[in-house]
Amino acid sequence: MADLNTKQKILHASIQLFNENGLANVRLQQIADEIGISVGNLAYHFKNKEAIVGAVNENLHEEVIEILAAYRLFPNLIDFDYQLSKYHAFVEKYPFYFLDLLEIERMSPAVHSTRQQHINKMISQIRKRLDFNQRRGIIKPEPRSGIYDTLATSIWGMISFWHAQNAARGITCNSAGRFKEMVWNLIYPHFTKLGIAEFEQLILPLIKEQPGLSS
Amino acid sequence: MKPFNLDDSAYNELLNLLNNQHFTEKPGSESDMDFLSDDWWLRDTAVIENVVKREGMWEIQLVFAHYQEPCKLIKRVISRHTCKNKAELSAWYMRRLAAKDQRGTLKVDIDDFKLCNS
Repeated sequence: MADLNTKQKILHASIQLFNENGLANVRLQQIADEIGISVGNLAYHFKNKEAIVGAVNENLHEEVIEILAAYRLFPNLIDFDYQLSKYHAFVEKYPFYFLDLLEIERMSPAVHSTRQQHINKMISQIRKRLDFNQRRGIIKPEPRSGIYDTLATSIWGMISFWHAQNAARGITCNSAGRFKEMVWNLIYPHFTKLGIAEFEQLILPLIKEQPGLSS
Repeated sequence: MKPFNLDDSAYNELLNLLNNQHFTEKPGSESDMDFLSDDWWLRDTAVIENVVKREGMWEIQLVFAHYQEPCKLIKRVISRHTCKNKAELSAWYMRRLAAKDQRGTLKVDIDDFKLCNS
């Protein structure tokens, strides 16, 4: 039990330090100092940083699976908004996971493979949401084959690189309201009249409740 | 052990099925549950076991007959056995299990059916 607690402490401290300083800038010594153990003790639990990243990734895997499970819980636009809330909470909790994406993948091929599966599932879900809402008459028929595939990939990019693009532009407001607004605005031009009505009735009030809305 | 993972095409198909569910499944109506009240009369039935030879096997049938209106009855085929004794023993247990009235106070007499042999 003591071992488990120390392992958990190491993982929590690692996530905190990765978020604050970036993956490349965190040394084992810093993690050990953070929880008040020796580097030797830390090495007993995780032989190197790669092992820590692997273990952190396993923890995050469970959370990603939970987010992906939030599909078709509601038969309307609230379904995606609910999932966006979960994505935003995840992005806020683990910014390093997205900011250090390439670094993590270079460090561990196993993580890269798991990550690839998650990305494919995320994009597939967004694409199928567009299909679903098109059948409901909420979204216009695809004007040209492939446009909605691109839109799904763009939405995934917006979600995954939300933190990176904000940091690059020097924007400090990472509120859920702004996050959702930017994602929904990508979809808005494709709404039918019925879609706009449902969006204004169900989604706008939810976004307006969140701080940081630009309009 | 390698964790289970659905490949992309299977996952897409799963999402399609979830999407289709919305368009194919309709909410039930109150009348869908009518079978519960329709079967209330079974509470007042006597259960009679009937073992008959059919296609070389001994077939157990249970007949549920209303104890006040014996002509209101249903027959249910339960199972088949190769051995008559085994079929009769099973039929006896089946009747005991199926009968609401374990002590057998609800009775239907053969004469109640007023059968005409001609």
